[in-house]
Amino acid sequence: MKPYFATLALLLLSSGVALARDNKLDAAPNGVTPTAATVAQVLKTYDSATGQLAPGVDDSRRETWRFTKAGLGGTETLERHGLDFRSKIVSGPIVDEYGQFLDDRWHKDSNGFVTPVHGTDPTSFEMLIFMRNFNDAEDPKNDVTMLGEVTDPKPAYVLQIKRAGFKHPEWVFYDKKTGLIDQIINSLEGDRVTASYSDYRATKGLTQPWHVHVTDGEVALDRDFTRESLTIGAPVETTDFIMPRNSASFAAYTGHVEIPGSVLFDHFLYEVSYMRVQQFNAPTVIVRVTIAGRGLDFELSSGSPDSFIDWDVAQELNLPGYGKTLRTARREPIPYDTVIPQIQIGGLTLHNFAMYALPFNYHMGGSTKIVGTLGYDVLKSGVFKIDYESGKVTLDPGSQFDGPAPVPGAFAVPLHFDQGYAFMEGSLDSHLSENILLDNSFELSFVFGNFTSRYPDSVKDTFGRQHGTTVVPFADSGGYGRKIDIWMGNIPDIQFGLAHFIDYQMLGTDGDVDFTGHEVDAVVGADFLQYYDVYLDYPHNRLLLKPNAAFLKQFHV
Amino acid sequence: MRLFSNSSTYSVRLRIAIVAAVLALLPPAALGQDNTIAPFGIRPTAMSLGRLLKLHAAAVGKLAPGMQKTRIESWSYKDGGLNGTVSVLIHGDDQRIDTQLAPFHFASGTYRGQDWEQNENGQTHLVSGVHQRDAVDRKALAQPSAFAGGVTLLGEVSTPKPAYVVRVAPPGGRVAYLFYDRANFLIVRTERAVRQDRIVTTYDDFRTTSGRTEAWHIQTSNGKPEDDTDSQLQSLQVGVAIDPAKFAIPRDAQSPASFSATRLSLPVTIDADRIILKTQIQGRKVDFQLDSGASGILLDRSIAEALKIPLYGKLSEVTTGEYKVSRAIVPAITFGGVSLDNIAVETAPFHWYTSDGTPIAGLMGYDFLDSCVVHIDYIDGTVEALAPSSFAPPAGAIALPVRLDDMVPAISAQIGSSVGENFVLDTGADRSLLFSEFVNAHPHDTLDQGLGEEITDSFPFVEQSSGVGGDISIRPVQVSGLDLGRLHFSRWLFHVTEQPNSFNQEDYDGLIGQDVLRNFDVYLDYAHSTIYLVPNDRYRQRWGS
Repeated sequence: MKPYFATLALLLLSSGVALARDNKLDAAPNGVTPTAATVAQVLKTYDSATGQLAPGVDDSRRETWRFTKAGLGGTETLERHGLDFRSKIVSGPIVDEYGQFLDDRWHKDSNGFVTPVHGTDPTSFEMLIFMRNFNDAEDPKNDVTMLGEVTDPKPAYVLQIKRAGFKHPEWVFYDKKTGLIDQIINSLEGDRVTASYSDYRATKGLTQPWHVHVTDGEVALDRDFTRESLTIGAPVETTDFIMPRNSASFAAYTGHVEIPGSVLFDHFLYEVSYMRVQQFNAPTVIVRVTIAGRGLDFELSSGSPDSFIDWDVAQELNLPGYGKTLRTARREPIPYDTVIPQIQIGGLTLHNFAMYALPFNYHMGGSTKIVGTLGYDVLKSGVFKIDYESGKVTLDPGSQFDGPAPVPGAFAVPLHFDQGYAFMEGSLDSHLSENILLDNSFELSFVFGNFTSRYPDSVKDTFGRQHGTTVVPFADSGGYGRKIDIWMGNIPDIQFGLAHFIDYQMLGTDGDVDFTGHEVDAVVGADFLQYYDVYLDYPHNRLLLKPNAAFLKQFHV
Repeated sequence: MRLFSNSSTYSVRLRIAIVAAVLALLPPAALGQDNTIAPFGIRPTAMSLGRLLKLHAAAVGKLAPGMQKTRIESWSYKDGGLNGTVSVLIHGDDQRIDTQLAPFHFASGTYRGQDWEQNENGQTHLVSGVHQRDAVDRKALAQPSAFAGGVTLLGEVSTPKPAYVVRVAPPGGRVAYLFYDRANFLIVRTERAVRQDRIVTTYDDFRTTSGRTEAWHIQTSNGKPEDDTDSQLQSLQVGVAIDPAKFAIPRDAQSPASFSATRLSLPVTIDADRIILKTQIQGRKVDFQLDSGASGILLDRSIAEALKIPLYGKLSEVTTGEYKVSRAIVPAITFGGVSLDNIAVETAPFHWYTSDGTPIAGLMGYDFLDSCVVHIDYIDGTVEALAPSSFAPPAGAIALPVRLDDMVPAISAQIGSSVGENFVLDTGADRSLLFSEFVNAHPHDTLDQGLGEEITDSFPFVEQSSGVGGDISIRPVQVSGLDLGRLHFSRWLFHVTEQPNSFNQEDYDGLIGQDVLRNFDVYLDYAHSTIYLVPNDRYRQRWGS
């Protein structure tokens, strides 16, 4: 199974599923004894202890942090003004930058490529998010009760807070001496997490912790943040927040490059309607890469925002984790960022290329084991051509594709990127969409619920069955969860650039899908792309499609 | 001829149906176009405003001297894809308008200076004057010199027909453009900024009756064909005798609800302060959210379709996003000894799921809430329906007078030192909101006191709140104080809407939501235009007695 089918399945199945209640997470902390103090007294003391930003101080901040996250050490510089921000996070050779200027968000990845970001990525604010709970007692939607007081680890009053929309309570420890918050215990993804706060310092009237330590009890996975500097109110340059340029320099090649690999067609069965299974034959683009003298098969994936390598293979190659804990106490692998000194892909050399190592592998046709993916960052380094007929992949510099029509007989489809995902515009039954994911690692093209619920008549079941475009929300319907339908749909008219099909068949589903907050109407997969010579012209933000012989054989023109 | 009215030629219900604060991390929605800009193609004119208004008055003419100021109008009317009729009775300042659209009847009028409205379920409420923009415009037009700069002649246009264009935009009014026919000085077109829309009204088929010339054909459009209205005057009688009793404010034509006892415990659960009402429709279970911010009953369209309940017409409406609404009559909605029989509802695509996966398929608003006194106990998670006739306010209750102009309870609230007369007390809003117009009008009193900024510091992304039809962008702001009647809260965390138009219901200041209400036993007594709050244990825990 390929990764995005897994993602799809996960997304579809996760909706409406209630989590089991975990009584452990509801148990109050140990050692709490009754107190005469009241909630109002504790909050009043806290309020005066934290102070307030001095009047008239500009809403700008510059701060630097040193951190350790599951053993991985690093630094973060965070600059902000109002909602605008820019951060730089350095962990050994891994450097990521994030920013926001007005409504434009961006991410510069560790290989130096910049991509717009549609959704919200809180990575830059991880240490501050652990302080967000400081406000929970003041939020009128939450229930606050005085639980009592403790002597360990420090004498403190303990407030129990039941937050609106959360299953489990949290406990906030207010230092009896300073009135400030020493510790917060709450639940995160089924675990009890303790965040400790210390080294409080006042800046411009506002007192904040400069040390935050977070643990779920597994020490090797602890997170520790130490603030090293904080400036509030100093002028900042607006230009600091603007999206930077690419600075990638990892790819080296000269002129036209033949990429070693192949296009493998594989048969598979898919349930396309109730009790009806259909056999499909769709291609996967395999690329042979060499790392430290070892030949490995990777998939070339136009829809993958990153490149990644199988965790086991990364370990066999001794790819470093820079101090990060790589296994849980139960010996389960923990994904990690690594940098590979050199990857050889025919005439293409990737130097010091950052990859994400995670458990990932599958077999194609029983013999070829795919242990990685080459995604957006590799594809952005030139124009990759996939010739599905000959099974060849080539690479040329982007400069050779300047101009509006660089490939005779090909037409262009503009692409826009969201955190490395490639989206194209098109029309399905004359309904325009700019949320069509281009992803050749999907064997089959899909139309998702975001579209089918809006235009149910545009994706009719070829077998004549009626499909609910949404669940009828009777409260006695037995299962409240989303019943996801999948059907072979017939789209009367479909158009991407100059590609125009009448009565085109795509799988339809009423399940909604989004990638990093970007709702997807449809995905164009390998079943569609195989009828073209496909030029992934990412340097010019476009896709070039040139009909091949299979196209002429399959379709009436 | 009514040049200005609330939404279209005749009364169209203002919908305030809000289920707020399912916070999702989405980018802000794009803002709509400015609907107040002047029409295109205006060129200078030698005409003056004063002369034009005199020529217009002369063109309209006057009733023949001595004639009684009465009118009986009979119109054919199309609205939202439905055909119907409108009858109008006028006697001096008193009037009554009855509209019949397919099986739906609603009415409005003025009697001895008191405006009133009656909804499709026959429930009558008084209109106190929350919306004054059109009245201000009318006054400005009648007496331009009293509204310096409020009425200006912009020039003339040649299309759609040669006309002089007058801009009406007095303080407290709405921006409107009137097109006076260059040939006969009659008003042939208006363009008005109403909420997010620009409503174009055209007038033709002018006829003279008893000395006055007026349009017998009126069309309105907001650019969406499904919302077009078309009114054709079929007959007009002027100066005829009309029984004065016909103008009296009608009692409720019928009660849409029947109750098996004077005190009923309703089948509800309160999930994260949202009140879920468990009902039955045609043998199926359908859960509603009890929502005082809903001016009617909203039912998910798919439920109506599955139960084969006929749908009537289709209109566009906007709350947090645009959605299509059809009307329907549900034979019966029953719950806990209450039966709403042959109840007129609106249907639209709407449902959400509670934390345990239960689907909520509608909003139970005014039509039910007006039928009884509703007592909400947020601590015990119970709701009762009480007969208004036997209801006595509990001792120590804080009484808040409400106005129900739009069939949602509007209360006065003080934010810092600024008073807003039109906050909606909204059991459907997860959190209290300040609308951007209020914030812009009171910048000092809506300055963040620290908590809003602290929240934003750790997550500097514009957050979204879900409502009927879509999402809106919001930001947290802690104000210095919130006063409701004799209640005072030192500092309160509000959310502020970022969009200036669609979500901010015209003339409203904000919402008082569950974050406030959850601290009280709440009694909604619409019959006496009062809401009672009794502090509960949650209140006492946080603020003392």
